[in-house]
Amino acid sequence: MAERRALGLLLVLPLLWIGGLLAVPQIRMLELSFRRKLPLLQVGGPEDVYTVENYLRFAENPLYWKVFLKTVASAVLITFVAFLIAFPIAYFLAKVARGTWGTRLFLAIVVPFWVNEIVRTFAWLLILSEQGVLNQVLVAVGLLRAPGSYLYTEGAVILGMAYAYMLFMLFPLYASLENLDFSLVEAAQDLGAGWVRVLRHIILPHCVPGAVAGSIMVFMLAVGTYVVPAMLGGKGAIWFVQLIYSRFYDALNWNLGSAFAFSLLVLSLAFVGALLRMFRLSVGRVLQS
Amino acid sequence: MADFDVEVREVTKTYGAMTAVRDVTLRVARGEFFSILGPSGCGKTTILRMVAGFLEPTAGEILIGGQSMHGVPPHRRPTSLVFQHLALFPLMTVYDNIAFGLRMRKAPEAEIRRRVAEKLELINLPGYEAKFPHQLSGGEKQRVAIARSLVIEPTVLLLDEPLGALDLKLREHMKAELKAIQHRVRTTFIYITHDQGEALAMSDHVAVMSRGRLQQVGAPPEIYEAPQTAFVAHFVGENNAFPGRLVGREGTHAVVETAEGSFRIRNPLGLSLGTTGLCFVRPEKLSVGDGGAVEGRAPNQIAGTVQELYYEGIIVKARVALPSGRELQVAIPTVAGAVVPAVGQPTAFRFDPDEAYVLPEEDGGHGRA
Repeated sequence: MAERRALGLLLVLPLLWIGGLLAVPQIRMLELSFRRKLPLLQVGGPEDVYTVENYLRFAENPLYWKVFLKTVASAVLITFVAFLIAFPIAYFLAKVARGTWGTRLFLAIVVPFWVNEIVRTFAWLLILSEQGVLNQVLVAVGLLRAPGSYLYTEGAVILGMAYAYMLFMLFPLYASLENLDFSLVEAAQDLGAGWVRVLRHIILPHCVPGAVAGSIMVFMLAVGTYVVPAMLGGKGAIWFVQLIYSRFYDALNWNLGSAFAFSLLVLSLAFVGALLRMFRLSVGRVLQS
Repeated sequence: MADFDVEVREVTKTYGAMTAVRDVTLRVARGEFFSILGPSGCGKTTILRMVAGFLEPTAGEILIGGQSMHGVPPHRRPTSLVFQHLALFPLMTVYDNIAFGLRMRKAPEAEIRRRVAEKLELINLPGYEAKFPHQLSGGEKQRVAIARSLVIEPTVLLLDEPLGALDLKLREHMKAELKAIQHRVRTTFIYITHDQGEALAMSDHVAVMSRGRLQQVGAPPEIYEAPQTAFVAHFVGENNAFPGRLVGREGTHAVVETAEGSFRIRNPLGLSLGTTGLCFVRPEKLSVGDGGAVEGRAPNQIAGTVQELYYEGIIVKARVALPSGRELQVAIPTVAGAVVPAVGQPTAFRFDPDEAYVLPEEDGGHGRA
């Protein structure tokens, strides 16, 4: 009995945390999104009713849609790039690097992520700017005659974000590859599969749960980020979250802002659902990996 | 055409300072069941992996069907390996597992269907196409793994202790099954095991290895009845060993003086007078002669006190303490007329001069080239 009570007490704190700091504010935002923005005097008056007006404004304006679709498309691309970068690294760490070299490499990859995201993004500014490392190298090697400009483009944003969230792809992939029995690879080779076909028929199918788990994380983070596009994207590449930000801070329209935010949430969840469906995976299976 | 499907010629494999396989030469004839027997770490798996192409020999050459396999990757070799833990593809059905090798060879789908069905028939699992490996029992997995390897019609099927993970009863059953499958397909099998029972029961020829060296190659009765080295005599079956000195030679036989008495036994390697060696007498070659009375120092007699009797059904095992402090193991068949000694009784055990032999002691110089 006493044990159960102790367990109950132990549960109170996390429940308070989740309820008070996560659920309640979110519900409040959801409620806001179904209300009109009214002058203070009219709040609680006859005009203050629940409505879907805010959502309709989002649905009716092609500009918002365009930004939204571009954000989703970019997030998909970022997820894909993150996979392309993380997969060889994860494979190398899990199956090739042994002992101290594996640990060193792991540290080399993880340590930069101890640094704040903004600082890390600044590092990309240093690399990509006109007097940056990339240009200096390319000019020195003779590949370029004059330094190019890469900053404030779609490409810079995608590269920056793929790097920023690469670890979220790396870890689940590493976990999947780690428990891949290497004799399966050998068995496939033995039966006549070269490297490409071993990759296609054995290694990649084995990694699907890890890759989907990583993709969900990277995609959700990429869709919802503000820092990287704001720093590397400049004026040209507007991210949907920047629209939400401006509704809250520039237009001071919390109602519309939260309607945008929830639209984004619902649509990206739908995307994740579609992804799981495509690979016939359950949420539980993905969480395990 | 080569007479041998597989030839391992003076193959050595070293890892840094460690020598896993030292100067091994083997020839495996077409269609035979060939076993490589040895304790773990003796280099048998290394040889198998070199034949399969997962490892390259440091020195020497491997030929399959008369062709040098130097630099040929596993997927281009006419071999197929049944892995120790089977390595069935967990995400594929039984059908897809077996079809894998054929798909890699781009066989037409109709042919794949036919050949997979044929192999499922062979392993006695028709109707299992849609099952996944995790739905199969140990023995079924085993058979699917064999079918998956056989379907590509390899010149040689390599088996890396595939029965190791099975329980005793199933292992006995699979032994018979494996032999039957080999009989039907007539493919050359190279079978790796540390279990001498498996090797003796299934093989046409057995190669015994120890510490990277080949000890002896022969048919199972040769390996068992006429070991060429003390290691083989110890490792295959049970054996009693007594150190002694050669004091006489009589043709194929020698007289050896040991602490237990003077033995007139076979001298298969022709050891010369004055050398020391080990005399081997298997437990089942000993019998209680003439009521077991101890007669002075008669030849080919070992006398001691029975310490313990173990009734094992087929035989009764006796543990006998000898005056020299050694122990003697005796196996007495449980048939009518066989004399079983009493515990605590001084008893003499006799053996036939042709059923015991003297071999040089293990040189211990395994580091020698």
